[in-house]
Amino acid sequence: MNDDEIYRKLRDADPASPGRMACLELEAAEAALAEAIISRPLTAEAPEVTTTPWPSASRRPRRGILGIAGIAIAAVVAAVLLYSGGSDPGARSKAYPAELVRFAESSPLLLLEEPGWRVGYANQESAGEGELEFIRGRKLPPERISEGRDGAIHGLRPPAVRQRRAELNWRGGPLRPWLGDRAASADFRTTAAVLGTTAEVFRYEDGHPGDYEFTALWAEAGRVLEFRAPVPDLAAFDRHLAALHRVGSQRWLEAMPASVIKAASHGRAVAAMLKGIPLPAGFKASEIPDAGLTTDRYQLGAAVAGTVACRWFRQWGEDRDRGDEAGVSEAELALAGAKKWPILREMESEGAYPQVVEELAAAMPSGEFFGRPLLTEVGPALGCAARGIQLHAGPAG
Amino acid sequence: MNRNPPSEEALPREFAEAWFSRLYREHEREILRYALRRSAEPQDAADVVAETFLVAWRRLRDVPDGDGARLWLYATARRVLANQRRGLERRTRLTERLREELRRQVPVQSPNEHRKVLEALAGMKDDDRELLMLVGFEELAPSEAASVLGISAISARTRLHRARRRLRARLAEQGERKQPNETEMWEAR
Repeated sequence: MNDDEIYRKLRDADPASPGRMACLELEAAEAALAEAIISRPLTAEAPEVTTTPWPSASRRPRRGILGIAGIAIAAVVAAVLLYSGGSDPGARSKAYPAELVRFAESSPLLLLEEPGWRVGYANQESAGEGELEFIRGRKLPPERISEGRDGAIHGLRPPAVRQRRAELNWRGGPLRPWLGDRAASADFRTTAAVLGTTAEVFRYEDGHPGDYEFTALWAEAGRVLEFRAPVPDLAAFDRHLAALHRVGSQRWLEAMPASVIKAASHGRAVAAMLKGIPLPAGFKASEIPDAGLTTDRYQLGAAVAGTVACRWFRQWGEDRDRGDEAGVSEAELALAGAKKWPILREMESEGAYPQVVEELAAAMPSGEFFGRPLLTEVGPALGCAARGIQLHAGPAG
Repeated sequence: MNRNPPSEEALPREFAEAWFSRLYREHEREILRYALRRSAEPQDAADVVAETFLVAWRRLRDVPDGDGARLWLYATARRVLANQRRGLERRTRLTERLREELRRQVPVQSPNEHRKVLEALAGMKDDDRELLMLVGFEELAPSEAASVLGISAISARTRLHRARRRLRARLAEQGERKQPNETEMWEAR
Protein backbone atom coordinates (compact mmCIF):
# COMPACT_ATOMS: atom_id res chain seq x y z
CA MET A 1 0.00 0.00 0.00
CA ASN A 2 1.67 3.23 -1.13
CA ASP A 3 1.27 6.68 0.37
CA ASP A 4 -1.50 7.71 -2.01
CA GLU A 5 -3.50 4.63 -1.09
CA ILE A 6 -3.08 5.40 2.58
CA TYR A 7 -4.47 8.87 2.09
CA ARG A 8 -7.29 7.59 -0.06
CA LYS A 9 -8.30 5.18 2.66
CA LEU A 10 -8.24 8.02 5.15
CA ARG A 11 -10.37 10.24 2.95
CA ASP A 12 -12.85 7.44 2.40
CA ALA A 13 -13.19 6.89 6.14
CA ASP A 14 -13.45 10.59 6.94
CA PRO A 15 -16.27 10.97 9.48
CA ALA A 16 -16.81 14.51 8.21
CA SER A 17 -16.31 13.99 4.51
CA PRO A 18 -17.80 16.53 2.10
CA GLY A 19 -20.48 14.03 1.17
CA ARG A 20 -21.56 13.47 4.74
CA MET A 21 -21.51 17.16 5.52
CA ALA A 22 -23.66 17.89 2.50
CA CYS A 23 -26.44 15.85 4.10
CA LEU A 24 -26.58 18.07 7.16
CA GLU A 25 -28.79 21.09 7.55
CA LEU A 26 -26.85 23.22 9.95
CA GLU A 27 -26.93 26.64 8.38
CA ALA A 28 -29.48 28.18 10.72
CA ALA A 29 -27.75 26.88 13.83
CA GLU A 30 -24.38 28.01 12.53
CA ALA A 31 -25.73 31.48 11.79
CA ALA A 32 -27.27 31.68 15.26
CA LEU A 33 -23.92 30.77 16.76
CA ALA A 34 -22.15 33.51 14.81
CA GLU A 35 -24.72 36.04 15.95
CA ALA A 36 -24.38 34.92 19.52
CA ILE A 37 -20.60 35.26 19.42
CA ILE A 38 -20.78 38.72 17.90
CA SER A 39 -23.20 39.73 20.62
CA ARG A 40 -20.54 39.00 23.21
CA PRO A 41 -18.26 41.76 24.41
CA LEU A 42 -15.38 42.46 22.09
CA THR A 43 -12.41 42.43 24.37
CA ALA A 44 -9.06 43.08 22.82
CA GLU A 45 -7.25 41.34 25.61
CA ALA A 46 -8.96 38.22 26.77
CA PRO A 47 -6.51 35.43 26.13
CA GLU A 48 -7.08 33.99 29.56
CA VAL A 49 -10.65 33.30 28.71
CA THR A 50 -9.70 31.07 25.89
CA THR A 51 -7.91 28.11 27.26
CA THR A 52 -8.23 28.88 30.87
CA PRO A 53 -9.47 26.45 33.41
CA TRP A 54 -10.54 29.63 35.13
CA PRO A 55 -11.88 28.84 38.52
CA SER A 56 -15.47 29.69 38.14
CA ALA A 57 -15.61 28.08 34.70
CA SER A 58 -15.78 24.62 36.09
CA ARG A 59 -17.08 25.24 39.51
CA ARG A 60 -20.76 25.79 39.33
CA PRO A 61 -22.81 22.70 38.71
CA ARG A 62 -24.52 22.40 35.40
CA ARG A 63 -28.06 23.44 35.55
CA GLY A 64 -31.16 23.42 33.46
CA ILE A 65 -32.66 20.64 31.50
CA LEU A 66 -31.29 21.27 28.08
CA GLY A 67 -27.62 20.83 28.57
CA ILE A 68 -27.23 24.23 30.06
CA ALA A 69 -23.65 24.52 31.12
CA GLY A 70 -22.17 26.48 33.95
CA ILE A 71 -22.21 30.10 33.21
CA ALA A 72 -19.65 32.12 34.95
CA ILE A 73 -16.41 32.35 33.12
CA ALA A 74 -13.83 34.96 33.43
CA ALA A 75 -13.22 37.55 35.94
CA VAL A 76 -14.36 37.08 39.17
CA VAL A 77 -16.42 39.52 40.99
CA ALA A 78 -18.88 38.03 43.39
CA ALA A 79 -21.05 40.10 45.56
CA VAL A 80 -19.66 41.30 48.82
CA LEU A 81 -21.51 42.10 51.92
CA LEU A 82 -20.32 44.31 54.65
CA TYR A 83 -21.92 44.15 58.01
CA SER A 84 -22.03 47.18 60.16
CA GLY A 85 -22.78 45.08 63.20
CA GLY A 86 -25.94 44.84 65.23
CA SER A 87 -28.28 41.93 65.53
CA ASP A 88 -31.21 43.36 63.65
CA PRO A 89 -30.39 43.75 60.01
CA GLY A 90 -33.35 45.99 59.49
CA ALA A 91 -32.63 48.28 62.38
CA ARG A 92 -30.43 50.68 60.51
CA SER A 93 -28.75 51.11 57.21
CA LYS A 94 -25.46 49.42 56.61
CA ALA A 95 -22.61 51.47 55.28
CA TYR A 96 -21.21 50.19 52.01
CA PRO A 97 -18.04 51.45 50.43
CA ALA A 98 -18.41 53.33 47.18
CA GLU A 99 -16.99 50.47 45.11
CA LEU A 100 -19.66 48.14 46.43
CA VAL A 101 -22.34 50.59 45.49
CA ARG A 102 -20.81 50.92 42.02
CA PHE A 103 -20.85 47.15 41.72
CA ALA A 104 -24.48 47.03 42.71
CA GLU A 105 -25.39 49.75 40.29
CA SER A 106 -23.70 47.99 37.43
CA SER A 107 -26.27 45.24 37.92
CA PRO A 108 -29.94 45.67 36.99
CA LEU A 109 -30.72 46.02 40.74
CA LEU A 110 -33.46 43.43 40.56
CA LEU A 111 -34.62 41.08 43.27
CA LEU A 112 -37.16 38.28 43.30
CA GLU A 113 -39.39 39.37 46.13
CA GLU A 114 -41.54 36.34 46.76
CA PRO A 115 -42.07 34.89 50.21
CA GLY A 116 -39.33 32.43 51.10
CA TRP A 117 -37.03 33.34 48.22
CA ARG A 118 -33.54 34.76 48.69
CA VAL A 119 -30.36 35.35 46.71
CA GLY A 120 -28.25 32.20 46.50
CA TYR A 121 -25.24 33.77 44.89
CA ALA A 122 -24.29 36.67 42.71
CA ASN A 123 -21.61 36.67 40.09
CA GLN A 124 -20.40 39.30 37.72
CA GLU A 125 -18.30 38.37 34.74
CA SER A 126 -17.64 41.92 33.69
CA ALA A 127 -19.12 45.35 34.10
CA GLY A 128 -21.97 44.47 31.75
CA GLU A 129 -22.50 40.80 32.39
CA GLY A 130 -23.53 38.88 35.45
CA GLU A 131 -26.00 36.61 37.11
CA LEU A 132 -28.05 36.23 40.26
CA GLU A 133 -29.33 32.96 41.60
CA PHE A 134 -32.50 32.94 43.65
CA ILE A 135 -33.37 29.99 45.83
CA ARG A 136 -36.16 29.00 48.17
CA GLY A 137 -35.42 27.01 51.28
CA ARG A 138 -32.07 25.46 52.02
CA LYS A 139 -29.19 25.24 49.58
CA LEU A 140 -29.89 22.92 46.68
CA PRO A 141 -28.00 19.62 46.51
CA PRO A 142 -25.51 19.36 43.65
CA GLU A 143 -26.53 17.78 40.38
CA ARG A 144 -24.54 15.09 38.60
CA ILE A 145 -25.89 15.52 35.13
CA SER A 146 -25.00 13.22 32.30
CA GLU A 147 -26.31 12.95 28.81
CA GLY A 148 -27.08 9.51 27.49
CA ARG A 149 -26.31 8.43 23.97
CA ASP A 150 -29.97 8.79 23.17
CA GLY A 151 -29.76 12.42 24.23
CA ALA A 152 -31.68 11.86 27.45
CA ILE A 153 -30.52 13.84 30.45
CA HIS A 154 -29.84 11.90 33.63
CA GLY A 155 -29.05 12.96 37.17
CA LEU A 156 -31.26 16.03 37.36
CA ARG A 157 -32.70 17.16 40.63
CA PRO A 158 -36.33 16.14 41.11
CA PRO A 159 -38.78 18.76 39.84
CA ALA A 160 -39.81 19.86 43.33
CA VAL A 161 -36.18 20.59 44.18
CA ARG A 162 -35.38 22.15 40.83
CA GLN A 163 -38.30 24.48 41.21
CA ARG A 164 -36.73 25.99 44.29
CA ARG A 165 -34.27 27.81 42.08
CA ALA A 166 -34.42 30.61 39.50
CA GLU A 167 -31.77 32.70 37.84
CA LEU A 168 -31.45 36.15 36.39
CA ASN A 169 -28.77 36.93 33.83
CA TRP A 170 -27.79 40.22 32.28
CA ARG A 171 -25.57 40.63 29.25
CA GLY A 172 -24.58 43.28 26.76
CA GLY A 173 -25.55 43.25 23.11
CA PRO A 174 -28.72 42.92 21.11
CA LEU A 175 -31.76 40.92 22.14
CA ARG A 176 -32.53 39.36 18.80
CA PRO A 177 -29.89 36.59 18.72
CA TRP A 178 -30.95 35.43 22.13
CA LEU A 179 -34.56 35.25 21.04
CA GLY A 180 -33.58 33.16 18.04
CA ASP A 181 -31.50 30.86 20.16
CA ARG A 182 -34.17 30.28 22.75
CA ALA A 183 -36.89 29.89 20.16
CA ALA A 184 -34.95 27.05 18.61
CA SER A 185 -35.24 25.05 21.81
CA ALA A 186 -38.79 26.02 22.71
CA ASP A 187 -42.11 24.34 22.07
CA PHE A 188 -44.25 27.25 23.25
CA ARG A 189 -43.82 31.00 23.10
CA THR A 190 -45.76 33.87 24.57
CA THR A 191 -45.22 37.28 26.10
CA ALA A 192 -45.54 38.61 29.61
CA ALA A 193 -45.40 41.93 31.37
CA VAL A 194 -42.32 42.46 33.45
CA LEU A 195 -41.03 45.63 35.08
CA GLY A 196 -43.11 47.87 32.87
CA THR A 197 -42.08 46.27 29.63
CA THR A 198 -42.93 43.16 27.66
CA ALA A 199 -40.78 40.06 27.82
CA GLU A 200 -40.66 37.26 25.32
CA VAL A 201 -41.34 34.03 27.16
CA PHE A 202 -40.27 30.61 25.97
CA ARG A 203 -41.07 27.20 27.33
CA TYR A 204 -38.32 24.70 26.73
CA GLU A 205 -39.27 21.55 24.98
CA ASP A 206 -39.06 18.22 26.80
CA GLY A 207 -41.14 19.44 29.75
CA HIS A 208 -44.36 17.95 30.91
CA PRO A 209 -47.22 19.02 33.18
CA GLY A 210 -45.84 19.92 36.59
CA ASP A 211 -42.27 20.04 35.31
CA TYR A 212 -41.48 22.79 32.83
CA GLU A 213 -38.70 25.29 32.41
CA PHE A 214 -39.53 28.77 31.18
CA THR A 215 -37.29 31.63 30.29
CA ALA A 216 -38.15 35.28 29.71
CA LEU A 217 -36.00 37.74 27.79
CA TRP A 218 -36.27 41.46 27.50
CA ALA A 219 -34.08 44.40 26.64
CA GLU A 220 -33.31 47.10 29.12
CA ALA A 221 -30.87 49.98 28.91
CA GLY A 222 -28.82 48.41 26.14
CA ARG A 223 -28.53 45.00 27.66
CA VAL A 224 -30.39 41.73 27.58
CA LEU A 225 -32.04 40.44 30.71
CA GLU A 226 -33.08 36.85 31.05
CA PHE A 227 -35.04 35.31 33.89
CA ARG A 228 -35.23 31.57 33.87
CA ALA A 229 -36.94 29.14 36.20
CA PRO A 230 -38.18 25.58 36.40
CA VAL A 231 -41.84 25.78 37.33
CA PRO A 232 -44.90 23.54 37.35
CA ASP A 233 -46.77 25.75 34.88
CA LEU A 234 -46.91 29.11 33.16
CA ALA A 235 -48.94 30.65 35.96
CA ALA A 236 -46.13 29.96 38.41
CA PHE A 237 -43.66 31.54 36.03
CA ASP A 238 -45.88 34.60 35.68
CA ARG A 239 -45.92 34.89 39.46
CA HIS A 240 -42.14 34.91 39.46
CA LEU A 241 -42.05 37.63 36.84
CA ALA A 242 -44.55 39.72 38.77
CA ALA A 243 -42.35 39.41 41.85
CA LEU A 244 -39.26 40.78 40.13
CA HIS A 245 -38.80 44.24 41.57
CA ARG A 246 -36.25 46.93 41.07
CA VAL A 247 -34.71 48.10 44.31
CA GLY A 248 -32.13 50.60 45.44
CA SER A 249 -28.49 49.69 45.68
CA GLN A 250 -28.63 49.68 49.47
CA ARG A 251 -31.41 47.16 49.59
CA TRP A 252 -29.86 45.11 46.81
CA LEU A 253 -26.59 44.82 48.70
CA GLU A 254 -28.40 43.89 51.87
CA ALA A 255 -29.98 40.99 50.00
CA MET A 256 -26.64 39.52 49.01
CA PRO A 257 -25.69 36.25 50.69
CA ALA A 258 -23.46 36.21 53.70
CA SER A 259 -21.32 33.44 52.24
CA VAL A 260 -19.19 35.96 50.45
CA ILE A 261 -16.14 37.41 51.96
CA LYS A 262 -16.34 40.77 53.55
CA ALA A 263 -14.39 43.27 51.55
CA ALA A 264 -12.96 44.72 54.68
CA SER A 265 -11.35 41.41 55.59
CA HIS A 266 -9.65 40.88 52.25
CA GLY A 267 -6.17 41.34 53.68
CA ARG A 268 -6.81 39.06 56.58
CA ALA A 269 -8.31 36.37 54.37
CA VAL A 270 -5.34 36.54 52.01
CA ALA A 271 -2.87 36.23 54.86
CA ALA A 272 -4.70 33.17 56.15
CA MET A 273 -4.73 31.56 52.73
CA LEU A 274 -0.99 32.08 52.31
CA LYS A 275 -0.27 29.95 55.32
CA GLY A 276 1.35 26.67 54.37
CA ILE A 277 2.44 27.93 50.94
CA PRO A 278 6.16 28.40 50.25
CA LEU A 279 6.71 31.89 48.85
CA PRO A 280 9.33 33.07 46.37
CA ALA A 281 11.98 35.41 47.70
CA GLY A 282 10.66 38.93 48.01
CA PHE A 283 7.02 37.95 47.58
CA LYS A 284 4.54 40.25 49.27
CA ALA A 285 0.88 39.61 49.94
CA SER A 286 0.14 42.96 48.37
CA GLU A 287 1.06 41.45 44.99
CA ILE A 288 -2.21 39.53 45.04
CA PRO A 289 -4.60 41.68 43.10
CA ASP A 290 -7.49 42.98 45.08
CA ALA A 291 -10.33 43.23 42.63
CA GLY A 292 -12.00 45.72 44.90
CA LEU A 293 -15.07 43.65 45.52
CA THR A 294 -13.70 40.21 45.47
CA THR A 295 -14.85 37.61 46.30
CA ASP A 296 -15.93 34.29 47.62
CA ARG A 297 -13.36 31.88 48.96
CA TYR A 298 -12.90 29.88 45.78
CA GLN A 299 -12.24 32.96 43.70
CA LEU A 300 -10.00 34.52 46.28
CA GLY A 301 -8.20 31.21 46.72
CA ALA A 302 -7.52 31.10 42.99
CA ALA A 303 -6.12 34.61 43.16
CA VAL A 304 -3.84 33.73 46.07
CA ALA A 305 -2.60 30.34 44.89
CA GLY A 306 -2.46 31.51 41.28
CA THR A 307 -0.36 34.57 42.05
CA VAL A 308 2.12 32.55 44.08
CA ALA A 309 2.29 29.82 41.44
CA CYS A 310 2.79 32.35 38.64
CA ARG A 311 5.65 33.90 40.58
CA TRP A 312 7.30 30.50 41.01
CA PHE A 313 6.88 29.74 37.31
CA ARG A 314 8.42 33.10 36.46
CA GLN A 315 11.42 32.37 38.66
CA TRP A 316 11.69 28.92 37.15
CA GLY A 317 11.80 30.30 33.60
CA GLU A 318 14.22 33.09 34.38
CA ASP A 319 16.60 30.87 36.33
CA ARG A 320 16.47 28.21 33.71
CA ASP A 321 17.44 30.72 31.03
CA ARG A 322 20.27 31.95 33.26
CA GLY A 323 21.45 28.44 33.97
CA ASP A 324 20.77 28.83 37.68
CA GLU A 325 20.05 25.25 38.60
CA ALA A 326 19.51 26.00 42.27
CA GLY A 327 16.77 28.50 41.44
CA VAL A 328 15.13 26.04 39.04
CA SER A 329 15.19 23.31 41.65
CA GLU A 330 13.79 25.60 44.31
CA ALA A 331 10.82 26.52 42.10
CA GLU A 332 10.18 22.93 41.08
CA LEU A 333 10.29 21.80 44.67
CA ALA A 334 7.94 24.56 45.79
CA LEU A 335 5.35 23.74 43.15
CA ALA A 336 5.75 19.99 43.53
CA GLY A 337 4.27 20.55 46.97
CA ALA A 338 1.22 22.39 45.62
CA LYS A 339 -0.92 19.36 46.26
CA LYS A 340 -0.45 20.08 49.95
CA TRP A 341 -1.25 23.78 49.88
CA PRO A 342 -4.19 24.14 52.25
CA ILE A 343 -6.15 26.58 50.12
CA LEU A 344 -5.90 24.32 47.07
CA ARG A 345 -7.09 21.40 49.13
CA GLU A 346 -10.05 23.45 50.22
CA MET A 347 -10.88 24.38 46.64
CA GLU A 348 -10.69 20.85 45.28
CA SER A 349 -14.29 19.99 45.80
CA GLU A 350 -15.48 23.08 43.98
CA GLY A 351 -13.49 23.22 40.80
CA ALA A 352 -10.51 22.32 38.68
CA TYR A 353 -8.08 25.09 39.55
CA PRO A 354 -6.03 23.00 42.03
CA GLN A 355 -5.73 20.19 39.54
CA VAL A 356 -4.49 22.57 36.88
CA VAL A 357 -1.78 23.95 39.16
CA GLU A 358 -0.63 20.43 39.95
CA GLU A 359 -0.63 19.29 36.32
CA LEU A 360 1.43 22.28 35.28
CA ALA A 361 3.83 21.77 38.17
CA ALA A 362 4.28 18.13 37.21
CA ALA A 363 5.37 19.24 33.74
CA MET A 364 8.25 21.38 35.04
CA PRO A 365 11.00 18.76 34.73
CA SER A 366 10.23 18.21 31.05
CA GLY A 367 9.47 21.86 30.30
CA GLU A 368 6.61 20.81 28.05
CA PHE A 369 2.88 20.55 28.51
CA PHE A 370 1.08 18.43 25.95
CA GLY A 371 3.85 19.06 23.50
CA ARG A 372 3.98 22.81 23.94
CA PRO A 373 6.47 24.92 25.87
CA LEU A 374 5.30 24.88 29.44
CA LEU A 375 5.38 28.59 30.11
CA THR A 376 3.23 29.41 27.10
CA GLU A 377 0.59 27.20 28.71
CA VAL A 378 1.03 28.42 32.25
CA GLY A 379 0.20 32.06 31.53
CA PRO A 380 -3.30 31.58 30.19
CA ALA A 381 -4.03 28.55 32.34
CA LEU A 382 -3.37 30.30 35.63
CA GLY A 383 -4.26 33.81 34.54
CA CYS A 384 -0.77 35.14 35.24
CA ALA A 385 -1.07 38.23 33.05
CA ALA A 386 -4.32 39.17 34.76
CA ARG A 387 -2.45 38.96 38.03
CA GLY A 388 0.23 41.30 36.73
CA ILE A 389 2.86 38.60 36.18
CA GLN A 390 4.35 38.27 32.74
CA LEU A 391 5.99 35.00 31.82
CA HIS A 392 8.60 34.80 29.10
CA ALA A 393 9.02 31.50 27.39
CA GLY A 394 12.73 32.23 26.94
CA PRO A 395 15.15 30.70 24.48
CA ALA A 396 14.49 27.17 25.68
CA GLY A 397 10.75 27.59 25.39
CA MET B 1 -4.34 43.44 1.87
CA ASN B 2 -3.74 43.46 5.55
CA ARG B 3 -7.12 43.60 7.24
CA ASN B 4 -5.65 43.92 10.68
CA PRO B 5 -5.97 47.36 12.22
CA PRO B 6 -2.51 48.91 12.28
CA SER B 7 -2.40 50.16 15.80
CA GLU B 8 -3.28 49.09 19.30
CA GLU B 9 -6.18 51.48 19.51
CA ALA B 10 -9.60 50.07 20.28
CA LEU B 11 -10.94 47.88 17.53
CA PRO B 12 -13.96 49.55 15.91
CA ARG B 13 -16.89 47.25 16.42
CA GLU B 14 -18.15 47.55 12.86
CA PHE B 15 -14.73 46.56 11.61
CA ALA B 16 -14.59 43.66 14.01
CA GLU B 17 -18.02 42.38 13.06
CA ALA B 18 -17.34 42.56 9.36
CA TRP B 19 -14.02 40.86 9.68
CA PHE B 20 -15.28 38.19 12.03
CA SER B 21 -18.25 37.46 9.78
CA ARG B 22 -15.93 36.87 6.90
CA LEU B 23 -13.64 34.70 9.00
CA TYR B 24 -16.59 32.66 10.19
CA ARG B 25 -18.09 32.35 6.74
CA GLU B 26 -14.84 31.18 5.24
CA HIS B 27 -13.66 28.81 7.94
CA GLU B 28 -16.45 27.71 10.27
CA ARG B 29 -17.20 24.54 8.34
CA GLU B 30 -13.55 23.57 8.29
CA ILE B 31 -13.36 23.91 12.04
CA LEU B 32 -16.63 22.06 12.50
CA ARG B 33 -15.35 19.20 10.39
CA TYR B 34 -12.06 19.24 12.30
CA ALA B 35 -13.97 19.01 15.57
CA LEU B 36 -16.38 16.32 14.37
CA ARG B 37 -13.47 14.11 13.38
CA ARG B 38 -12.04 14.34 16.87
CA SER B 39 -15.06 14.43 19.15
CA ALA B 40 -16.38 11.40 20.94
CA GLU B 41 -19.94 12.64 20.42
CA PRO B 42 -20.97 14.75 17.44
CA GLN B 43 -22.62 17.38 19.62
CA ASP B 44 -19.34 18.03 21.44
CA ALA B 45 -18.01 19.47 18.20
CA ALA B 46 -20.36 22.41 18.65
CA ASP B 47 -18.54 23.43 21.80
CA VAL B 48 -15.20 23.28 20.03
CA VAL B 49 -16.46 25.45 17.20
CA ALA B 50 -18.04 27.97 19.57
CA GLU B 51 -15.01 28.25 21.80
CA THR B 52 -12.60 28.49 18.88
CA PHE B 53 -14.51 31.34 17.26
CA LEU B 54 -15.11 33.00 20.60
CA VAL B 55 -11.34 33.07 21.00
CA ALA B 56 -11.05 34.51 17.50
CA TRP B 57 -13.66 37.16 18.28
CA ARG B 58 -11.88 38.22 21.40
CA ARG B 59 -8.45 38.11 19.83
CA LEU B 60 -9.12 39.37 16.35
CA ARG B 61 -5.85 41.24 16.33
CA ASP B 62 -4.00 37.96 16.76
CA VAL B 63 -5.70 36.18 13.87
CA PRO B 64 -3.37 36.23 10.87
CA ASP B 65 -4.46 37.25 7.44
CA GLY B 66 -5.17 35.03 4.48
CA ASP B 67 -4.51 31.34 4.71
CA GLY B 68 -2.74 31.82 8.01
CA ALA B 69 -6.16 32.37 9.57
CA ARG B 70 -7.15 28.81 8.79
CA LEU B 71 -4.03 27.40 10.43
CA TRP B 72 -4.47 29.71 13.41
CA LEU B 73 -8.02 28.46 13.84
CA TYR B 74 -6.93 24.84 13.60
CA ALA B 75 -4.26 25.41 16.22
CA THR B 76 -6.78 27.13 18.47
CA ALA B 77 -9.33 24.37 17.97
CA ARG B 78 -6.67 21.84 18.82
CA ARG B 79 -6.04 23.49 22.15
CA VAL B 80 -9.74 23.88 22.86
CA LEU B 81 -10.18 20.20 22.14
CA ALA B 82 -7.27 19.30 24.40
CA ASN B 83 -8.82 21.29 27.21
CA GLN B 84 -12.15 19.64 26.55
CA ARG B 85 -10.59 16.22 26.85
CA ARG B 86 -8.87 17.20 30.06
CA GLY B 87 -12.19 18.34 31.40
CA LEU B 88 -11.01 21.94 31.56
CA GLU B 89 -13.26 23.41 28.93
CA ARG B 90 -16.62 24.71 29.80
CA ARG B 91 -19.70 24.19 27.73
CA THR B 92 -21.13 27.42 26.55
CA ARG B 93 -24.70 28.49 26.26
CA LEU B 94 -23.97 29.66 22.76
CA THR B 95 -24.10 26.19 21.37
CA GLU B 96 -27.42 24.80 22.45
CA ARG B 97 -28.91 24.89 19.01
CA LEU B 98 -25.91 23.63 17.09
CA ARG B 99 -25.38 20.87 19.64
CA GLU B 100 -28.93 19.73 19.17
CA GLU B 101 -28.68 19.75 15.38
CA LEU B 102 -25.46 17.77 15.42
CA ARG B 103 -26.85 15.30 17.91
CA ARG B 104 -29.91 14.82 15.80
CA GLN B 105 -28.35 14.71 12.35
CA VAL B 106 -24.86 13.26 12.56
CA PRO B 107 -24.73 9.46 12.67
CA VAL B 108 -22.52 8.12 15.42
CA GLN B 109 -21.65 4.93 13.60
CA SER B 110 -19.39 4.87 10.60
CA PRO B 111 -19.96 2.33 7.86
CA ASN B 112 -18.30 -0.97 8.61
CA GLU B 113 -15.77 -0.72 5.82
CA HIS B 114 -14.36 2.46 7.31
CA ARG B 115 -14.19 1.38 10.90
CA LYS B 116 -10.98 -0.53 10.29
CA VAL B 117 -9.17 2.62 9.25
CA LEU B 118 -10.60 4.60 12.14
CA GLU B 119 -9.70 1.88 14.57
CA ALA B 120 -6.15 1.83 13.30
CA LEU B 121 -5.97 5.59 13.68
CA ALA B 122 -7.44 5.51 17.15
CA GLY B 123 -4.81 3.04 18.24
CA MET B 124 -1.91 5.23 17.20
CA LYS B 125 0.08 7.57 19.38
CA ASP B 126 -1.54 10.97 19.71
CA ASP B 127 1.12 12.85 17.80
CA ASP B 128 1.18 10.41 14.92
CA ARG B 129 -2.57 10.31 14.67
CA GLU B 130 -2.97 14.06 14.72
CA LEU B 131 -0.38 14.54 12.03
CA LEU B 132 -1.98 11.94 9.82
CA MET B 133 -5.40 13.42 10.35
CA LEU B 134 -4.26 16.96 9.56
CA VAL B 135 -2.74 15.76 6.30
CA GLY B 136 -5.24 13.06 5.44
CA PHE B 137 -8.49 14.67 6.55
CA GLU B 138 -7.81 18.39 6.67
CA GLU B 139 -5.58 18.00 3.61
CA LEU B 140 -2.89 20.27 4.98
CA ALA B 141 0.59 20.23 3.54
CA PRO B 142 3.15 18.81 5.98
CA SER B 143 4.55 22.31 6.53
CA GLU B 144 1.05 23.60 7.36
CA ALA B 145 0.44 20.72 9.75
CA ALA B 146 3.76 21.58 11.35
CA SER B 147 2.53 25.11 11.89
CA VAL B 148 -0.64 23.87 13.57
CA LEU B 149 1.28 21.51 15.81
CA GLY B 150 4.01 24.00 16.61
CA ILE B 151 6.80 21.80 15.29
CA SER B 152 9.34 22.31 12.52
CA ALA B 153 8.48 21.37 8.95
CA ILE B 154 11.40 18.97 8.88
CA SER B 155 10.19 17.29 12.02
CA ALA B 156 6.69 17.06 10.58
CA ARG B 157 7.93 15.34 7.44
CA THR B 158 9.98 12.85 9.42
CA ARG B 159 7.14 12.08 11.77
CA LEU B 160 4.64 11.86 8.96
CA HIS B 161 6.75 9.30 7.19
CA ARG B 162 6.92 7.27 10.40
CA ALA B 163 3.20 7.67 11.06
CA ARG B 164 2.25 6.47 7.59
CA ARG B 165 4.46 3.45 8.03
CA ARG B 166 2.81 2.65 11.35
CA LEU B 167 -0.68 3.10 9.99
CA ARG B 168 0.13 0.85 7.08
CA ALA B 169 1.43 -1.79 9.47
CA ARG B 170 -1.64 -1.52 11.68
CA LEU B 171 -3.97 -1.91 8.74
CA ALA B 172 -2.06 -4.95 7.58
CA GLU B 173 -2.13 -6.44 11.07
CA GLN B 174 -5.83 -5.92 11.49
CA GLY B 175 -6.66 -8.11 8.56
CA GLU B 176 -9.30 -10.37 9.86
CA ARG B 177 -9.66 -9.11 13.40
CA LYS B 178 -13.12 -8.58 14.77
CA GLN B 179 -14.34 -5.01 14.44
CA PRO B 180 -14.81 -3.31 17.82
CA ASN B 181 -17.63 -1.07 18.74
CA GLU B 182 -16.76 2.40 17.47
CA THR B 183 -17.65 4.08 20.71
CA GLU B 184 -15.28 1.82 22.61
CA MET B 185 -12.68 2.65 20.06
CA TRP B 186 -12.93 6.43 20.53
CA GLU B 187 -13.29 6.25 24.23
CA ALA B 188 -10.14 4.19 24.42
CA ARG B 189 -8.06 7.04 22.98
